[in-house]
Amino acid sequence: MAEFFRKYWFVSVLSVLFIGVLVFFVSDMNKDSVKSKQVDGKDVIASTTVGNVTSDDLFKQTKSTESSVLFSMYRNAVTDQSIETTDEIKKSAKEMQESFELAIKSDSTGKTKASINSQLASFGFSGDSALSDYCLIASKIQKLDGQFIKDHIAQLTSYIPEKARTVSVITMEVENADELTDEQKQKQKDIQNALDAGQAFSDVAVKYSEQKDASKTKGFVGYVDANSTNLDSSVLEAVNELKKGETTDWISVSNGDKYTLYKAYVEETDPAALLENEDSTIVTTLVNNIISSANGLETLVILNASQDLEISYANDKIQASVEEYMDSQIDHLDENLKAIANEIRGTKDETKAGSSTETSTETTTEQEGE
Amino acid sequence: MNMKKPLTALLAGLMLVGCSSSNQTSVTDGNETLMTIGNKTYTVNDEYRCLKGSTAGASGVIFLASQPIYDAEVGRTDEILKEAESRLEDYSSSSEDFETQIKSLGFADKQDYLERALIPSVQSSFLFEKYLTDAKDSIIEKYDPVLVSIIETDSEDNANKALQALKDGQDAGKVSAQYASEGATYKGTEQIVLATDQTLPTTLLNSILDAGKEGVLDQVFTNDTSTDDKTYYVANVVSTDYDKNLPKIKTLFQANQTVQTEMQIFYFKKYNLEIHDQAIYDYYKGMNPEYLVDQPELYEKALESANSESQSK
Repeated sequence: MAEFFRKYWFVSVLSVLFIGVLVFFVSDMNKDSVKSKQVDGKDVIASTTVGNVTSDDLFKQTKSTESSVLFSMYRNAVTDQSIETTDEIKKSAKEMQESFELAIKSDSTGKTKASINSQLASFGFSGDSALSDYCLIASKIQKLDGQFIKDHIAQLTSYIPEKARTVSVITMEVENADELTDEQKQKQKDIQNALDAGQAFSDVAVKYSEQKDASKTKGFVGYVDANSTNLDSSVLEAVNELKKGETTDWISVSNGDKYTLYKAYVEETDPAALLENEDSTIVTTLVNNIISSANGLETLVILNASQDLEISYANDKIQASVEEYMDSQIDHLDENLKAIANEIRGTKDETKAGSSTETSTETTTEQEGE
Repeated sequence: MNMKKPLTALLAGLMLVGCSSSNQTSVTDGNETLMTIGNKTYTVNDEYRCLKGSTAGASGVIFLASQPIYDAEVGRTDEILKEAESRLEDYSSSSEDFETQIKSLGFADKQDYLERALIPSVQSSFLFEKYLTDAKDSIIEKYDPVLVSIIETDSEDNANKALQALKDGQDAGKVSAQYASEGATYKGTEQIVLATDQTLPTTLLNSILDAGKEGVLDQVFTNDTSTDDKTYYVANVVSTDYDKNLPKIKTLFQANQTVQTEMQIFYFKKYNLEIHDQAIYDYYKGMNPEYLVDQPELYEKALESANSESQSK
């Protein structure tokens, strides 16, 4: 041995250093790994010198929150299978995931990660892929919600946000709104003449608006409703009084020691048309606003989508747990939407009765054959 | 000597240890199918892992781990059972839907609710009282509770008169009625003051905590402000005896969530609480490292962080 080390001392030193680093690395990696424990064939979650908490104990203890978790799992599976995983969906999911991962990384305490993981668990996601699965389902469910809302917009009128519309603006920056210069007055006149002559508001905005990116946006602000904050309140108040295609007078808004003058135009007010807008941000905003104002709507969306899937349960108790949860959510909706739910349930019951009739007919035929 | 084989074995062993997967618990019959939605099949373990991973799971572990500790420390005496049954009687008679409500919370029936909710709740109260004695030294070290009566005035003249009256042996309540400012927080009532108090002037608090014996503190104190809007205080240290002050200390601490958590940690440490599920461990590491009592560095770091948070508030 001594001869060996004498001959290969350099390699030996390197080996010892390498092994040392490896030992440190391995022990560092494993310092947060817990030791498993079993008692009477059951997994133990926590132990003290006077007793153990088994997984079965905890499962029983947490059963009271079971129905929302079961529904979450149900929802996730229905959503995943109802919407194709397109490149657009993957991109949206990836961006969402990256945003979460950034938040987790920037919190060295680990609190953000722990909090996110526990939220994901309550949403029916667990394990190493919980976050990526959640982001994918969240992206898909937005599409699923949008499809349902488009198909049933007529029954959703009471949930459309008040004064939902898209608007565009032309702006001017002035020192004194009450005393415009001759040049500024001429500009206002030119703008009005162009609009009166029938030129498209967007073209006039490109030519005259003093917004930084007017040539790119063509003055388009996007979606607003009665509760929006992306437009000054006095401008919002003015556009809310208008119909589609109408234009406001000049509205002056103070910003410190200067003023911005706005002329606003209402592009669209029809919710069905808003939902067909090419700009996905507008569609998403409106869909999200409808979903958040209609408690239980997303459950109805899932019930609707589940019609296309074969569903089976281990026992009646599990089935009742999921269905009662869904019923309790749908119960918050107005009669129009409850009617949709009842129709779906009726169809499902008929399908079930039909397939059990077929089964008993097959059985009878087989028995007669024998 | 051929060192290759032992060296290779050692390195392979280290790599295997390094790559060992984290421990996730499962339930009995966990692989049984729960429900099948289209092409997705969920098992009982899938449901268990979601329930376990949620906040209900993390708090459930602490609740369940506490049960045998309650039994070991305070038992199920007639007094405890009687108190629990009395609560059950009160709750069930106050609501017609009581049984429906408890069933919606996951309890099979009233007996189950008594066993799994009410008895542990009463045991917890009894344990808390025991804790104030078991952990006397550490409570005194951290909180140094002292029974004091303080009178708050809005003028130095009134404060001096109040001080003299207290020194003359007059009742603090009567002195306060005469000299305390309108709307004063401190009106001569006997109360427990703690070393962690954030409302009293620093000089007053330090004098109270430094007082070796009962008696009137022989000076007028002011609040820590450089403005003219000063508040004046005089104080009488009624008792520094922890055991004598215990009932009032208990009343003060009963509503204090920090002390309730400290009680849990005290007994978890005593009974060597250890976590054997990775997801639960990771949750506590992020949210409640104080529960990882077998990881002293995490536990100490959490206590320091909690102390500095309460001081900055």
